[in-house]
Amino acid sequence: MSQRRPISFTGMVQPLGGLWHRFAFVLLLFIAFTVMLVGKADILIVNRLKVEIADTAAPILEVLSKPTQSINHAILATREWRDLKAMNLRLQEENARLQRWRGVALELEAENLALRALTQFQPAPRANFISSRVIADGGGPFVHSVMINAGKKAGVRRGLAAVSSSGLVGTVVNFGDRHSRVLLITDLNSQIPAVVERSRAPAVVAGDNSPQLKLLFLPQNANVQTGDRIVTSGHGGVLPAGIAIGTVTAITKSGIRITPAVDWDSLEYVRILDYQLDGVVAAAPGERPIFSIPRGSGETQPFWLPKALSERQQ
Amino acid sequence: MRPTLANRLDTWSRSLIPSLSLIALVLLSAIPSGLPGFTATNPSYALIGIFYWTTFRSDLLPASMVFLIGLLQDILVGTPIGLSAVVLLAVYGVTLSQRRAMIGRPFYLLWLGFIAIAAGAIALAWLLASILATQPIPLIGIAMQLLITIAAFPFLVWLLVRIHRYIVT
Repeated sequence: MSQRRPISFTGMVQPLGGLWHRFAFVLLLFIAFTVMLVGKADILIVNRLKVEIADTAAPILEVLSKPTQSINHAILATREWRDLKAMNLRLQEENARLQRWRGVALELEAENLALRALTQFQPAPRANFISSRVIADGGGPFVHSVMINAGKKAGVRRGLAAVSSSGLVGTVVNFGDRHSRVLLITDLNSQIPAVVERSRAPAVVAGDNSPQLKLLFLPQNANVQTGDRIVTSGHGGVLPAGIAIGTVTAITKSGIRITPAVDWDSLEYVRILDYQLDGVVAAAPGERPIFSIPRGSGETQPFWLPKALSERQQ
Repeated sequence: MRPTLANRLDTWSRSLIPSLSLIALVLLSAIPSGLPGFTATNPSYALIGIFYWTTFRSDLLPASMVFLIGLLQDILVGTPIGLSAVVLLAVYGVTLSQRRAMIGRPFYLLWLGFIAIAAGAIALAWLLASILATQPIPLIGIAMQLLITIAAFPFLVWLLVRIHRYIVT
């Protein structure tokens, strides 16, 4: 009959097989702790190594992420078939509404052009776009970031904004030759200078690793209501002004919560915007935000068309 | 009888399988799942893999490999570097000390053992991540990850048993 020994320290480390294995285990644990503390300090060689390894893995991840993408597309397609009729009705309604908006937009554009000619307005610098695919997401509850398949070779730099069709996704925090890492706006370390679109009250949008965002450092007596859109302010000169971040959904004693404009579940592609910003850039007074959510539309629809933007900036 | 070179090569390549399977699991946990809820829903596959191989074939999984797998996971998934290495090494140590209690037992006991270890591992990860971020991380994502990892356990073990059988034969 086998007898169970009581759990003791020697009993615990016995299976590690001898002094050397025990020592190696403790040493490795110690090294891992040291790496964790050193990694926090952002040391160049650690970063270089991280980037090299991630660059090597990027093509593998790119291939691996394709099947899941196809499966998701198939699921989406069946769901669309099911909802075809309802969707058609909704789109017709929306089309009618957008047609009206188009009229307004054309009128405003003509007026804008005329006024620009009158005031000799200097248009904002032209943006370059880098479209790329999300090849890895991760961190789970600890870090909200995604890896994309565009890096230095495609012209990605640190600090550039990543947007989806509905708004701001995050900023590039790290890049290699073939990949970059985008820190999402929901991450604990993300803080974006923003304004309340309606009242122009400045604030900072901060993430806390939950699906919602917090609105911080709002001036006293600032005018904010639920349903207000929050857009980037461009303060600090890192992000361009006027990119939609989200909508205020709750104002409580503990703070103001924002629901991001981006649909995280279907984040497959992101666009990296390069405005060649390198200093403090303030939004021109009265300038219409480029990426704002259209008024009067409850849906988060892809309103952001590069064509409209390039026309606007010509 | 002395083993031939081909024999030895074969044994050597088979002994690499646990490590290779763990690398594959880390890659798997990094790719976008596309499941609703976004990043919070990726189970920690490496945790399951380390638990399985440490329980059944600890001779083929040195601690140094666990350390490297942890670093790889940190780099690909974007967690603070070293965090997964510490957590996976802790899982390795604890599993190694308890493996005799789990070998040859029915599956549900193995699962229960894993639940206890996974809960401890994710709690440790939460503690370390919160210290590194100098503020507590919301618990809802942690609970989700734990539940999904526990739910993924039987499916992944089924797969690992298939791989395990290949090594033995």
